[in-house]
Amino acid sequence: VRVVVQRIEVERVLRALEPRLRGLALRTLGKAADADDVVQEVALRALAGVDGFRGEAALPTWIYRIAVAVLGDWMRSPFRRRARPLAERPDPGRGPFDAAAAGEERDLVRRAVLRLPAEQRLVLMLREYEGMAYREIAAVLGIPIGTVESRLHAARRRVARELSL
Amino acid sequence: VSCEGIRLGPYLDGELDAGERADVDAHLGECRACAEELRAITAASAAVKAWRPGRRGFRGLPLVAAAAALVAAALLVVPGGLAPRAEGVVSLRAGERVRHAGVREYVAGGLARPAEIECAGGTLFASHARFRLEDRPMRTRTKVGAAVVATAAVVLWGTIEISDRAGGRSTLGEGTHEIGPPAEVVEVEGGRGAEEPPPPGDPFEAVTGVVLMPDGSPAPEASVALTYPAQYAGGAADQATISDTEGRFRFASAAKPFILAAVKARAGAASGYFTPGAHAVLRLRAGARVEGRLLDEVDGTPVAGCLVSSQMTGGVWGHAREVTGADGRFVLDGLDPDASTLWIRPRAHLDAVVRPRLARGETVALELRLQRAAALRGKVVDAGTGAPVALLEVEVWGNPQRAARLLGDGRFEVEGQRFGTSIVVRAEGYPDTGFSFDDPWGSATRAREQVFRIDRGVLLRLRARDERDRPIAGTRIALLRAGSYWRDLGTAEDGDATVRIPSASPREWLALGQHPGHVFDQTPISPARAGEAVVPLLGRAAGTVVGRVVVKDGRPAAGARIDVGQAQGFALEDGRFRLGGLAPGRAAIRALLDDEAASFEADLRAGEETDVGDVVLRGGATITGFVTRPDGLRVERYEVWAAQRGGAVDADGSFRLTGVEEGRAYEVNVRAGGMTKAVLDVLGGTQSLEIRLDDWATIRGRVIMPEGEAVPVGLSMGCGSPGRPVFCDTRLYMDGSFVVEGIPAGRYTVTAGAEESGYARTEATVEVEALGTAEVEIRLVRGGAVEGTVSSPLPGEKLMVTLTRTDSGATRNSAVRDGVFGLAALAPGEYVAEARTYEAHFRGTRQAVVVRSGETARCDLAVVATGGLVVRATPGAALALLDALGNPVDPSTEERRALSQQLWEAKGRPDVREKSAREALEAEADRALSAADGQGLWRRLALFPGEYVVAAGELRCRAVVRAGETTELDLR
Repeated sequence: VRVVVQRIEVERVLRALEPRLRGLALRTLGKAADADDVVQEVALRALAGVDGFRGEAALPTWIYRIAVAVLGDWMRSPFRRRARPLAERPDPGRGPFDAAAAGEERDLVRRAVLRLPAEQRLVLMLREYEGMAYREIAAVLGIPIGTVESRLHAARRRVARELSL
Repeated sequence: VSCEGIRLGPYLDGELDAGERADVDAHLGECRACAEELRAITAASAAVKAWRPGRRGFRGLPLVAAAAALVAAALLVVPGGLAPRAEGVVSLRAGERVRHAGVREYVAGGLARPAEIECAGGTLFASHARFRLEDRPMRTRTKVGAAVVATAAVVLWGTIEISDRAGGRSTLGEGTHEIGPPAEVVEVEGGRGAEEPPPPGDPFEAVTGVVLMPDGSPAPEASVALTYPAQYAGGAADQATISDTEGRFRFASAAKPFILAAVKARAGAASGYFTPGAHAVLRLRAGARVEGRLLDEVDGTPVAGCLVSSQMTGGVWGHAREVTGADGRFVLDGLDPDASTLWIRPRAHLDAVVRPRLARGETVALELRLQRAAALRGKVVDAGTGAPVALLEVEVWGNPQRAARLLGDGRFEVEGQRFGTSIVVRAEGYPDTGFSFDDPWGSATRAREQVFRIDRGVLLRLRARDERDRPIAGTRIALLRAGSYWRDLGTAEDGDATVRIPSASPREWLALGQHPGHVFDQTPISPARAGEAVVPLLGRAAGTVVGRVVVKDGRPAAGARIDVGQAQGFALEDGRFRLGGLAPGRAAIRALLDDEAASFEADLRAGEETDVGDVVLRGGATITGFVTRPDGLRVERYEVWAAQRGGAVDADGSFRLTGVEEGRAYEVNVRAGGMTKAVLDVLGGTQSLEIRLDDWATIRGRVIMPEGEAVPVGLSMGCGSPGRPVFCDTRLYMDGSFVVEGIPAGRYTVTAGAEESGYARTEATVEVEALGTAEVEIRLVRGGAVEGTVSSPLPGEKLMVTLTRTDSGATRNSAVRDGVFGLAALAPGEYVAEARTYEAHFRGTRQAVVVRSGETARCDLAVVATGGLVVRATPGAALALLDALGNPVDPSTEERRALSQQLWEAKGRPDVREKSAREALEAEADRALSAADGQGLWRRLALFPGEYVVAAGELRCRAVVRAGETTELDLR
């Protein structure tokens, strides 16, 4: 019964977190299709591992840890890295007005974020999107606080440079 | 101070204490380089924060280029306590025009909020735009920024003036701010206007549309997002714009079927599914608004700095969050009334989750009184020596607003501890060790500094090796503790990694390896007590698949996505793909592009490339339909998926599954409320179906409080069906009423409680008929508490106390720290308290306890050394153990565990995660407790010292058990 109750609880938390997990994945990976897959993978891992969840961490935190692990896998996997963002395919037939108006679709921030190394990108998203404190980021990623600070700084400097800020 | 020690990131993020902050402030005043650096990272931070990729997270203004980013450079600091209503004008230089302008308000620690915009003259192209920042409370040092955002390339930058409510112009900095370098202005020469048709041969079609208010009038300045459904791999570009003053909008191009979504703050949201070339009409559905105030329960003072967030599901609602100001007030709007739950996460009060009753287009006022939380003080010592441990960190889970302060000498303090708080202690030379508190508010544990003992654990040396025992350099190694704790050790350059894990871990750990050329199985690590352990990770050579994806006429399918199990790749321009690192053997491969797909299987050989040749995509089919209840009414909110891909549910309640292969059978799954339903074998192709749910039962109820007491903020509920895994979609409102909708008929157990406020969790069972509605009431009572001591001859051993309710068998556990335990918010009734230890040959005493509402019962327990008994009898003889008074002696937990363990080993360890297997073993263990085995031996373990009687049929025989000894008895 405990396992069933836990499973129900995990499902409930997953449903509640789903939009945020999707948002985090979308920002980190830059592609909605990948974000969907990641959210699904997180849900599968969480439900598969529910028997082993012993309450050492709060349920949402546990799920975030899984999410970060899945995102890390996704970004570092050499197979997925090969994926080309097709939305950026050049469109020679259009004039300067369109090219500029397409600023709507050619989002500079997105490109700057997606060019960051995986570990910097995750830290940046956990801070700017999730609003996590440094120690929480360190906890979720399993890295020291000093590393969080240095990665975050490196990520922001790089974004600033890419956007010529 | 030199620039070396200046930590600008933590300064920006509010992670510094007052002293460090003052140092940075002083340094910034004299160092231009650091000030410039701070400006740059602040702008980058704001740009990333403001970046909305659309889809469900979409809310607010468009993500137009880097324009929004720059604005952050013009951050203004508002003095504490001021509630500004800033007004201003964005005016543009002569000859420049702006199509849309937007201003955002940046709240420290929160998200940017769009402000109301008026374009001058009501025309699309304007020379200036007025804006007004909403009149709302802000907390100390609120940052107000303003962004000028233009979607056209005409001009991006102008000047901005901001004035405060009093009409003065100097309150917010210098008055007039120039935003952005003029050098970045892009001139338009000979470009195509937005209203002109696309030139011939343009592969993309434009999308135009209009956004309407709920009453049908045009919705000016609504945010509109265009996104592609998930199945269009590779093409999921999210675009956004804002509608003009007539509510019209236009996207330059759309290549595939897409979803449009529109939002206008305080008006509502709408979304719909369209195909290229469409003229879309989006009528907004009104959202709800909450104006709330958080107060301290005792003295009614405002609770400032509390994070209030709402997570909303479905469509484009996304989420909203805000931090309360000095007056404890917050405002959230545009909420989805059907799915809005507010999560309240204060610093020094207990967390709360509330669900106000909302209605579209209406404002709800909310006043919540939050309960103060006790602080947790602790000291971490070495389990062996008892000496204080130099802490690196103490993490607190659950609430980002809380933090643990390290006080030195192994001591730490956490403000506002709450139910289920978990901490993880980190120290050099020790494994990360977690502790959790089931009952932090129990007075016995709360008043004292608690001692946490950690040991040095086991040092694991993990070695990634191939089949010939050579190191696999560059293997990424991670540890997983049976699903609950996951630790990435990073890439091991030489294939070796080391890590410490706790020694007394009752569960198995798993080691995982990942390497492009190798496939690793999960390697279990058996728990060791201490010292070191070497764990080899075997990597087998991986397979690679190559091929070419083409469409029906043989042209290459550039960008097609290839799925092989969890691995994913994409076809290049010539249609070729290559995917490595795959497990050898038979693999299911799927290729997908737009709505065409192909799937097949191939045998992958280890260490080799397997060429699958040309893969021809087929299909282009769609399954559409809708979901109905058994009485024929349509269900509007549900999820639908087939072949692991989700479908889109439109506003009218119909669904659409694309990317379906023709001629292939599909299983379509639906989940609505608590119901799931699968329709088997729907043949691909464009076809429509109605999925009728088997049942749609509803439970409605109310939590009844004791006379004169208000519903507590921390009220929570659950609903489940005993023995059946039914997902219950529960909605609990702040007035204590609740609804569980869309569940199958049957018997349900509904529980409610507010343990943090001292109300015991109370249960009610209810039976609901098919298509019926059952009503249930749950009466909450003030719980009682139990506290006491556990004496033990085992210093440092982990002890706990389990309280078992005599009538229902429900249990609650409390950790024992420094010999003290406590549990609060217990339902009144009779319980048995038992002290428990993991240490073999020791056992805790039991005691009956009566819990009365509002009272604290005392209970003192002990852990004592036990003895054993071995009886020799005729094989299979029925035996029983009685105490000196003739009552049967219950088997101890340890006895059951030892017997089950023996049985598992005898049977070659069946999968003990299966509940039925475990129960069968326990039944067998019970039999072993009542009869001699085939050799005529009968053992009883963990008996308290004293006199016992062994009964074999009519025969009675006296036995004396001594601590630490095994008494033998021969009955033959």
